[in-house]
This record gives sequence, structure tokens and C-alpha cells, in this order.
Amino acid sequence: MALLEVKNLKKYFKTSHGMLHAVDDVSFTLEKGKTLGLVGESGCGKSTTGRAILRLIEPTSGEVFFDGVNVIKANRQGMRKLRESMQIIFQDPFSSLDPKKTLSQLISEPIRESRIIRNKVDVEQRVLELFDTVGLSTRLINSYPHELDGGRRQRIGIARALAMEPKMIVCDEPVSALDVSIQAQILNLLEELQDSKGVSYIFITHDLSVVNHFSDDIAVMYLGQIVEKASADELFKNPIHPYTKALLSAIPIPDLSVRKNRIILKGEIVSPVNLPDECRFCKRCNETSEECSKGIPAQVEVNPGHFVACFHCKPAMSRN
Amino acid sequence: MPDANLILEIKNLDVCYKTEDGDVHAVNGIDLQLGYHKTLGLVGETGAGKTTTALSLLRLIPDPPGIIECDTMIVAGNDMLKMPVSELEGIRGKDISMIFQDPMTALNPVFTVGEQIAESLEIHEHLSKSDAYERAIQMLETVGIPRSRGNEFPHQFSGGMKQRVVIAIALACNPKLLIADEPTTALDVTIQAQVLELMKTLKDKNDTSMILITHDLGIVAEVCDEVAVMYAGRIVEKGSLREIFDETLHPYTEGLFNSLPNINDRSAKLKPIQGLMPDPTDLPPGCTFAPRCGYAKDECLRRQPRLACMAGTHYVSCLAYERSDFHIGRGKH
Amino acid sequence: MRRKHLASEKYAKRSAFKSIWKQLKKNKGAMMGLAILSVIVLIAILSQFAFNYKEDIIAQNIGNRLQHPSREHLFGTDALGRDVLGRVAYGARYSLAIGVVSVLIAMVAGVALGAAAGYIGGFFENIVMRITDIFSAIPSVLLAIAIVASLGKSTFNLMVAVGVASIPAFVRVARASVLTVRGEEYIEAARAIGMRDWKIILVHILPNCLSQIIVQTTLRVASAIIAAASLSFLGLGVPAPAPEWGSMLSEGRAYIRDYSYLMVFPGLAIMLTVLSLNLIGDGLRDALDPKLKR
Repeated sequence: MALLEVKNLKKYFKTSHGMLHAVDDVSFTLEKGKTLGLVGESGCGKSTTGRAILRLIEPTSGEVFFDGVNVIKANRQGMRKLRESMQIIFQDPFSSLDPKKTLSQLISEPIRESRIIRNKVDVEQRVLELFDTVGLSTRLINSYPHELDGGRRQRIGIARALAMEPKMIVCDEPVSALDVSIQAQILNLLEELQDSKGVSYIFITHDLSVVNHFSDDIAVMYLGQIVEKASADELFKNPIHPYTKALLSAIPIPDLSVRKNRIILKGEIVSPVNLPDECRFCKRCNETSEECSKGIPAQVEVNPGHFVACFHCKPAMSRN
Repeated sequence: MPDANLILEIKNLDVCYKTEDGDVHAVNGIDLQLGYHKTLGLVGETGAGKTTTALSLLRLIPDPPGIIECDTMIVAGNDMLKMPVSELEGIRGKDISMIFQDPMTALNPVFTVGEQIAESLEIHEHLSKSDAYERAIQMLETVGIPRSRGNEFPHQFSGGMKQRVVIAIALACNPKLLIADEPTTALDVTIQAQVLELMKTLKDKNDTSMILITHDLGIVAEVCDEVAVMYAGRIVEKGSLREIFDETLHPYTEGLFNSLPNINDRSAKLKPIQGLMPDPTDLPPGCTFAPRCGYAKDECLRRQPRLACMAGTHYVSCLAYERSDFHIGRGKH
Repeated sequence: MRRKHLASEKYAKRSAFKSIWKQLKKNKGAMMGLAILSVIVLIAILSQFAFNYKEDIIAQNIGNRLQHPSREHLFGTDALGRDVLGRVAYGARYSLAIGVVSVLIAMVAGVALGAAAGYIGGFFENIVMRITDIFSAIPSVLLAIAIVASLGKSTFNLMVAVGVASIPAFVRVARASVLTVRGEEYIEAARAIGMRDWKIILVHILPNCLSQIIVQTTLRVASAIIAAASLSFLGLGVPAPAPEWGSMLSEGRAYIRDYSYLMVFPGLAIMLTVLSLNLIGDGLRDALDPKLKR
């Protein structure tokens, strides 16, 4: 049984311009000890999906099953218990830490909140273990977040997420705000943690090169919907959806030997408000045709485990 | 004597901010040259001093607390050091233009985009309001925005379009040198691709020289002719694009390449550079990269390397190359 | 276990107070204000011992009335022969006490309401803010007058009146601070570990709103002192013969032409107290503003 099952998840916001379909019928599963990459640009709904799964934002409809438990239907008590197993690492290491609390207080807070350990000395022992796990020096124990750089602060975020020994961590763009060399340090740390503790990740990012390196499976999102879903290997070798292809070709490659055939998309990324009933990508797509404006395409399994939402796709088909 | 082939010639630029917490040595003795119609990529991470360097070219560093010391600074034929402030304003926006990092805050929210582009034209080319506006609308079309949107306000545009407007303002007076400070960092990947294509096209069409400041080596590979890598306020390596990418010399540059996930080889482990960039108020003696360098020897912690020419246009600042048999792991030997 | 002491005791905490004090010290105005206020507070405390209330402050001595300032009576004597210096010094106790207590009342009530309004939002927030608006629309002195008029004249009622009139300011500041902080990611982080709402407000939101509230408190004490003096001036404050500065101003009004010292000294006292509080408040605002630091 999969660790996490998300079925038909929807989150709509009422705005002055109309109903914003931030997350529109998203489904996927996550196995134990694996990483699912959730990829897309601004407004695609990936962050909202991550938060909705954890019920930091209440979903409008849909089902989420974590370790067999129905997350959406859980009551307050049940949710508190669930939260020990599903944690989150935030994107911005500057705003996700209370500036008035010391590092020790920040990391011990989840422990004290869940009351797994009650003894003051034991709590501190655990805090120091976590410091060690994420590579922070003990002498920082009474420092404040503003005294540290972005990379160290993100390690605190990771330590906090690990404090309750969760089974799954939603990583919401955990390295986007960091410098390149620090990014690599943090990614390595996350990988080590997965190897040693078997933690599953939902890795939300817009950076395809990072998600390629890190994920087992990848789901590409556009305007609230998953347009393509496959294992990482398969997605990079054989991208089918026009948006995925454009996204891949847009990544600047730091290698002179690679000849670039860039797909430039026309138009802008719009907001998922009051969208007509058609393929959401068709207005920008270079491969669009008549049928694309007739409705929303369903997901089609073109290869085992490789799903694409495009009218031009037929089951068990490779290159488009 | 200024070299007629160079649009930019800087010798020994030093920028220090005197603050109450200490002297922040943002830029420490850098030399830079750039030929006409070329694009230089100024690469480095946060705190390397790239933005400070760019701002000092236009003398936009606030005077207290920033102090600029420089032997030579000649940009587009102008001696920037000797120029009085009144003349400086005539150059900013006309001969030298700058694009700042964040398009969201670079535009004035109470003026229409047409007006903001026209402002530059009115000031520098002394056009009448209506002539300037007409030229402004033409610039908008050049950057791919329909004329009819000229009288809209910045908040009505998306991030990518705002950046195009910023580019239009910068290029309105046809500057000889364009300094772009992380122009696409705040943009989504597909929009970034659009904006980079636009910049390349305009640059070629107008024969503009460009300094592109970025931390993204991928963008450098696409847009730049020459590269200078900065670390802790110093240039550690500079050369042509090919020299830097395929014949990498400096351990820090190698470290930057190794930190990047290889899109073609998923399983390759990331090799980050251990440690952090030093505090600019407390720079280590000797080579500033030595504490983090895998190849460092004792001498590196004591003696500061100078930028030395290795071959042709390829310069590196590393004591190890004083021995002829030294080479790093990456690149051709 | 090898370690005997907690590591958190081994590495000292960097005190928030020390860094705020360091910033404040740079502000000459604030330091001057602090000096003046300290003197006034000292006078308020010491006058309990230096003067005997019955004999020196309220005992009338008609034969000695309306003496201009001399060596014997540095500030002169008033219409009932009482030493003005003693009365002004003693009056500090009233003004400071009224200022502090009334603002404390306002702060507790105002912050509780404002924080709740800011966090809960919706209908509740609307109601609270509209009621606050109504109270703000009434001039605070009028409001205080109305309250004193209905409750009766006494020092305590004065404190209540001035306090209630100061509540809207705190409600606004608290709500604004809470709204700002509420959207911060660390609040979401607190919810992600299962923290209950009331605990989030207490542990995470209020400490981060503290600086705004402190500044507001200091400045409101200044306005409270003026409000109290105004009410006493109008005869609705502390009942005679208490040496409250406002009452002294009122009594001195009739003699302003020939015996102006009767109004000058209490007036100066009010001015210096309020000025020092404002200087400190402004200094605190700058010292606590994270953007101005470094």
C-alpha cells in the first residue's frame, strides 16, 4: 500500500475576479522511502497542493489517505497525531523561523508540542542530536535566526521537520532561495536523510535539473492540473506533453557542447481564474489543434507508469 | 591611454563600506576589460561583489558609507573617476544603462509604462513629450508588447512583461553598454527563456556591449562571450567562454560546476563546496578561497595570489599554478 | 550521561535588551528624555519622604499667600499660601500614577481585543473595529468627561476614564501588528506542528508585536498625562486639595496677570514630563525598527 494517496484533490479560492482554480483535480501516489517531484512555474498550484495535503490549507474537495488514514476527515485530535508523521520544509529560510526564538527553542518546539519527550534534559539531548544530523555546530544553540546565513537557517528548517521523526516531508522549494554551492550541500543532506531514515519526500520545485537529480517520479503541473506524470528517467528521456518539452528546453545548460533547440512558448502564464472548458495549455501550445479547445484532456497512460494529459496522445504511444 | 577597442577598462577597483560593525571590503582590487559589442558574464554567488562592481561603474554607490578607490575606470570613452556629478547624469541611461534585479520594484507604480520609457528619451535626447512618447511606444513593440498597452500601469503587467518594459527603458537611448544585474532570476523558467532570447536579439541588432551579472552558469553559456568569476570581492578567473567552461582552472570555478546537478547524468553525486563565503568584514589573510579549497596548501593561507595570465585571454588567481605541473580535476589538461 | 550542565546554559543567550539599549543610547534625544524622566520619577518617589502631606502640601497659610518666588519658597506660594514647589513635586505622583495605570488598563484591554480581532478575523473583527471607530470618533477628552461625569469625581475614576479613552489606539496597533505577523511563514510553521491557535497567538504572534505595543504605550502615557491634566483643569479630575498639575493650572488662571508663576511651574512640569516620554517613545520606535538597525 502506498504511503500517500491523493485522489481528485481540488482547492478553489473565491476572488473578486471569479473562482480561482488553484488545484484542479490532482491525483498521485507516493511510496514509502521515495521522492515525488512536483514541478511547475508560478501559479501552477504545486505549493497549494503540498499545503492542502497537510491541511495547512483546507481542500475544497478530494481525498487524501496517509498510511491508510483519511486525512481530510480527521478531527482536531487526529490531525495533531497525523502532523507528527507529515511535516513540511518551507521555501524561505528567512521568514519561516520566528525571529524572536533561539535555535534551541525552534527545534525543540515540535518535540515539546507533541510531548513525545517530556523531560527537559531529554528534550535538549534530542535537539543536540538533530543539530548533529543536519550539520549545525552546538555553539549555535542559543543563537537567533537573523545571526545565521540562509544555508544554516534552512538546516534549522530541516531539523524542525525531522524533530518528530515524520514518515513524509513536503519540501516546498527548499533550495530555491539559496546559493548554488549551498543548494548542493542541502540537497546532499536531504538525500542522506532519505537513505538513513527512509523518509519520503514530496519535492516541490520549479527547477527541473534539481528535481531530476533527486526524484524517483515526477509530476509536471500547469495551471492547477497535472499535465504529465512519469518516473524521472522516463520523463527526461521521453517527454511527451508540449509543456514538459518546453520546460525542459528552457533550462539553461552550463555545457558548451550541448546544442540548444529551444522551444519558445508564446504568451504569458495566466491566472487560473474563470478558465474556459478547454485544454489549459492550448493557447500557448505550439502543437495545438482544433480538438484542444473542446474540453479538458484526461490523463492517458502512454507507457506503463507514464501518464500524459493531452488530446494528441493515445495509450501506449512513444514519441509524439 | 585608453584603449580604443575597449568599451570598459577598469584597473584596481576597490570598494569599501565603512560601517559601525567594521569595514566591509565588498570589492578588492579587480581589473576588468571588455571589448566593443561583446558580452561579459560576471559570475559569482551572493556577497561576491558583483552588484557592487556594477554600481560603482555608474558611481551609484552611496558616498558615505561607500568609498571607491580605483586607478583607472574608463567606460565608453568616459573617464568615470574624474567626471563631475552633473555630467554623470548625462551618461547614466544614455551611454551606460542598467537593468536591476527585481522588475517588481524597478518601475514606478504611478506612471504608465509608456511614460516611463519616454522619460529617458526626454532627458537624454531632448525630445518633446509627444515625440518621446511615440518613440517609447515603438520601443514597447520592439520588446514584444503591443502598442495599445503603452498607457497601462506596471501593476497590470506580469513579471516577465515588467522586465521587458525595464529592458525597453534601458535600451531606449541606444546605450553603448548595458549592465544587467540578474535580469531573469526573479522570472519563471519559460519566461526567462523568452526574455533571454529578446535580450540576445536586441543586443545583436543594436551592437550593444553588455555586462551580465548572474550566478547561473547555464545563462552564461547561452549569452556571454567572456566570463569573469568573482569570489569575496576578487576576480579569481577570467577568460573567454570556452576557456572558462572547457579549460576551467580555478578550484572555485570547478566547485561551482560541480555543485550543479547534471541534467544528463541523474546518478552523479553533487559535490558541493564545503563551508561558506567569508565575512567581508573579516577576510582571511592569504587566498580568500583557501579555507574551502580542496587543493589548498599551507602557503595558500598566508600569501595572496595575483591574477596571472595563463594563456591568451585566460587569467587565473591561484598560487598552485605557479607550479607548471598543477591541474584541477575538471576540464582538458 | 556525560554532560552535567545543559548546553543551553553553557552558551550564553544574546540578550535582546542589550542590543535595544545599545541602539537607544545612540539617540541623544531619547537619552535626554530618559534623564529628565528619571529625575521626575525620583522626585515623585522622594516627595513622599521630603514633604509631609498634611502640613506642607494642603495646609493653608493665608497670611503667606501669593508670595513671589523667593529663597524661602523657590516656586512661590499660591492663593491659599501653600508652597508651590512642594505641590508641584508632590503632583508628580498623581500624574505619573494616573498615566501609568490608565495606560495599563488600556493596554491589557486593547491588546486583547485587537489581537483577537486580528487573528480571528471575519465578523468578530468587523464588530470590534467598528466599535473602536465609534469610540475614536468621539474626542477623547469628551469621552473621559462623560465617563467621569457618570461615575463621579475621584482619582480612580479618572484613571478609568482616561484608560477607556486610550483603548482604541491599542486595539488598532495590536490588530495591525497581528495582521502583519499572521501572514508570516513561521506562523504557518507553528500550525504545521499542530500548535493550537491560542498558543500561537501567545507564543509567536504577541512577542513579535511587542515592539509596536511598547512604543505605543510610552507615547500614550504622555497623552494620558495631558488628558488627566485637562480634566483636572476643567474641574473633573482629582478633587481638591490634591496638588494635581492640571488643577493647579486651573487655580492659577485667575491670577495669571500678576502672579503668572502659579501657572508657569505646573505647566513646565507637565511639559517636561510629556516631552521626556515622547522623546523616549520616539527613540524606542527607532531602536526597535528592524529596518533601521545596522
